[in-house]
Amino acid sequence: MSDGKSTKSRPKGKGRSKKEVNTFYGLLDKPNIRRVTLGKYTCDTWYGNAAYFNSNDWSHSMLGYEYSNKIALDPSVKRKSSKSFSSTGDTTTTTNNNNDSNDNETKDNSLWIDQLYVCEFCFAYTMNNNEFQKHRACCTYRVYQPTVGRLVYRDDTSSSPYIIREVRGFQHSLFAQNLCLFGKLFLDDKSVYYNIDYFNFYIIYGIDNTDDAQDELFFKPMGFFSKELLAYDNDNNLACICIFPPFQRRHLGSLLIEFSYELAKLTPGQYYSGPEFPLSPFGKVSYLNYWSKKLATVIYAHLNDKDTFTLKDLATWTGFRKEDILLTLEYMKLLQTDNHGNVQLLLGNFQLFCKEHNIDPIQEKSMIKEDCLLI
Amino acid sequence: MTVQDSAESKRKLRSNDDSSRIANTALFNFDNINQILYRDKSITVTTELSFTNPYVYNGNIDINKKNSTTSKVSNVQVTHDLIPRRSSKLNDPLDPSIYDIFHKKMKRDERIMANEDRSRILSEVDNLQSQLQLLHQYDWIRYLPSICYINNPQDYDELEQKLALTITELDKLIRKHDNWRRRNDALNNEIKEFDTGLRHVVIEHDEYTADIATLRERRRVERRKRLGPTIRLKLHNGYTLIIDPIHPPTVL
Repeated sequence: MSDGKSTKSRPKGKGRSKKEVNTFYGLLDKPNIRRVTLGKYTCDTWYGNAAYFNSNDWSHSMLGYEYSNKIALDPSVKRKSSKSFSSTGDTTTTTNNNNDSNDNETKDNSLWIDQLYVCEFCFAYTMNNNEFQKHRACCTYRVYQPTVGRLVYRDDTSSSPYIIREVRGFQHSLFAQNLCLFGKLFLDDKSVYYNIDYFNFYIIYGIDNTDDAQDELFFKPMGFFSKELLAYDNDNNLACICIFPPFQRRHLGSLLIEFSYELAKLTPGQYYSGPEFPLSPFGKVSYLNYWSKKLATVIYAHLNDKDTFTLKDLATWTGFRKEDILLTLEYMKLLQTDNHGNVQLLLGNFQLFCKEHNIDPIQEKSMIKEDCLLI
Repeated sequence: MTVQDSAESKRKLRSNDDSSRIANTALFNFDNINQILYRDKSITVTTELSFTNPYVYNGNIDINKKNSTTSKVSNVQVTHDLIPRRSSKLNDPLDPSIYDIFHKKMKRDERIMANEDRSRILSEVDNLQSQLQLLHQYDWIRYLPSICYINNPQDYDELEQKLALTITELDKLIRKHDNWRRRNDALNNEIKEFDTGLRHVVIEHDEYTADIATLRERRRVERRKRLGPTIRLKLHNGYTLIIDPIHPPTVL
């Protein structure tokens, strides 16, 4: 599951509709790239990404870097590609020569290219399979243990070791830009791909246990989350989060969410923190599940023998923002208003919620191992 | 509308280019504050089980409904192409330089968009500062109704109370902006030092071989160097003020 959320280049929820936010890159209701190959995996994309393309190339017959490079060599290419724009203003279906499709569905006019190839280590991208395979052989990021950025989590104690590395956008620009571009294929709302100087990226690497013995076993990127360092709301500990489709269903989203809170505990101004709002549908599911499990443990530990409490108490015990706590308590259906307008927390409802959701509030199950944190 | 909501709605409206919408709704409103959220009102604990009169905060949080957005199918397939052997003679067809022109252009365009947003925020902050100045004048009573919602303009008690609340809220918003500006300046300096070669990426050659405890201690020292130490201020009245660079200050 991809826990989609938005990154932003400007404050969100400030009267801007989704259409306005995406005006710069165009609003794409459907995927414009049919399939993407990440290393040895090929899968359908979930959402469109116009940022891979140059907005001057209305035919979308090539990727943005190819178009820009061709223009640089021969400016007359720009005039020729403008002429290919149809008089109705609609983009035409393009089936690039390098993308042979056997599927009749490419008649869908929303598709710009059939297949994109992305390096699984550095996220370099191309439409050409030959270039992609040659690059895989000589990619400098293809090493057993990744060295990009800084190590911030090292779990080499379990049978499924994981590594998290912190990559600063301004120090590894191309890597971060390519990562953002690839992530957008599985995120519904994202607006920053290139101006990433003010973002940190936290990439989780794991061993792909489906690799053949012939392949060298490398730690591969399996997902990431980004954090905006200059968010106006300094209590945002996460901008967007994405677990790549081949590596979903491993609870890596939960691990990254937990990590984001551990990181926030050591970040000035983020004593109480949470993800950037508004949450995407995936983000809402992931976070409400995470918050409710954590709150269940805290409620059991602290409130069973108390008569009253405040949201600030819960915030102090969890590190969550009060707004996020209130949202979760509402989701768990634990709060009731009495005739005088006072609010009550119902422990009976709490026990029922735990039972229905298989939550054991006595034992807090954590994906993250605190001893492995290197922040 | 809560204070925070009203403050944010003010910013939201002022961010909107449609000037006709900037109207009476851009006022602080302290009458309908969410007490448990912003005034830390106590919540009582009972052992009951009941679903009548549920407390509504957001109202739209049913995540059990299946919809197309959360039920995406990836159709992942695996190909077992053999990767060509590494060779020093092999040129990388996806060398970083091929992306230079396009990525630089796109970064420039996105930066322009970000700067437009910054300008809007700065203009809003200017507004807030002007409002604060007006409220500190002797004739504040003339300006308060255009900044804060007043139920009864003849009720001087209400006016005084809301003057204090509005000034506190404006101070808080301006301090938030100052905090952002300090972070902005610090990060820009860091980026500038990196671009000019004054600051380099630190490479830890033993990050996978050293034991975790060693690495954690190294991180702790780096953090202390970056953020500064914890300060304990012993006051003459028997109390001690603890100022931590990360946690809120506490008094012992």
